[in-house]
Amino acid sequence: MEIDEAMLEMGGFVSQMVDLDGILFDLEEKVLVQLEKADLEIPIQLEILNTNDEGLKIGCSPPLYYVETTVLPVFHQLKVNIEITENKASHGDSL
Amino acid sequence: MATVSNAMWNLESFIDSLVVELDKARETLAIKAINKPLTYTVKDVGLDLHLFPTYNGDEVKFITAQPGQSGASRLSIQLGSITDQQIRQTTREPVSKDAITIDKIDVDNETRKSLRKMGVTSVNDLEKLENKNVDIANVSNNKISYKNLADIIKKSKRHSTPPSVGKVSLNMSGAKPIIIVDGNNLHLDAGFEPVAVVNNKLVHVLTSDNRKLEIEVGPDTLKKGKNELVMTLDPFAIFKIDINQQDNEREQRKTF
Repeated sequence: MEIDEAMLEMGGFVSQMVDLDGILFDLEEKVLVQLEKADLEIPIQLEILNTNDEGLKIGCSPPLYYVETTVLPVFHQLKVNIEITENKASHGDSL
Repeated sequence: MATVSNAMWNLESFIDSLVVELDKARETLAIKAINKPLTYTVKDVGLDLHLFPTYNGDEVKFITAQPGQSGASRLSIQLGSITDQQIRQTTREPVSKDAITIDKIDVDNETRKSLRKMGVTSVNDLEKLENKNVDIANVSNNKISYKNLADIIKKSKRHSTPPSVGKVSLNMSGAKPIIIVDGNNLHLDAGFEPVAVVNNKLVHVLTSDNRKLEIEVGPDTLKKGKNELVMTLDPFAIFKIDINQQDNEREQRKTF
């Protein structure tokens, strides 16, 4: 059983959220801004599959539709705090 | 809308899967960091889930709320970063290969569950509690006592080091014949002296250790032909050996 194709596995979802350039550059003003820290809090849809062999599979996505309907999907909340890291050899101590 | 195949899950397997997924994310980020001068790491992750808990008398399971369902509970999970030093400080040592886990000992499920609830996962944990004089009977509402478990643990330990007899020989050079039994894991329990019986007569065990037993028998105890030697090495290792004195053939049977 696989996660719904409209969703990503949690690991892929989180790594895509963190895949930021982190530098904003304004040529005219000659200003460079670097993102130091970001706290994200977003509603997500979850799919939890219970595969006996591999344990649970957790799929998630941002809300797939924004049209208000009589019965709305259940939105869970995901909070991710990210911080800048210097590109040294020793990376990966945190999650 | 995505088709959601909802299933019941317990918190432990959910957290396990979540940690595995976040590890994957970390690995992906580590690869990206090789070529990018600026990277970001996830410091912590929180999840607020809308779900329904159920309790079947044994364990708590959860199922995520479905569209249209109201009255769901909210479960908040917060996963923070942890350093390798913190892991070492807060995590017990992994169970070693030769350790006897409580899954391997012959106890009923209720006792096993009670032990697990107390954080006891191996016999070593139990012995540590006993050494610290912890009143385990009181903690477990009299379900568990060291006395009841002691024999079970000894039996399990004996199973992990089973005795074996390699050779049985007879030394007739002294005043009395001496049966010499060579083998492995013969006498391990220092608190128990091995007992030997030859042809239904109690005989004297002269020396005993892990590899060898010397048993002195009376001159009239042994007879020509088939002789029966029964050795009790400890309460969980009893050997019955048939010795044929004429051609030294022997047949060996082992019981626990």
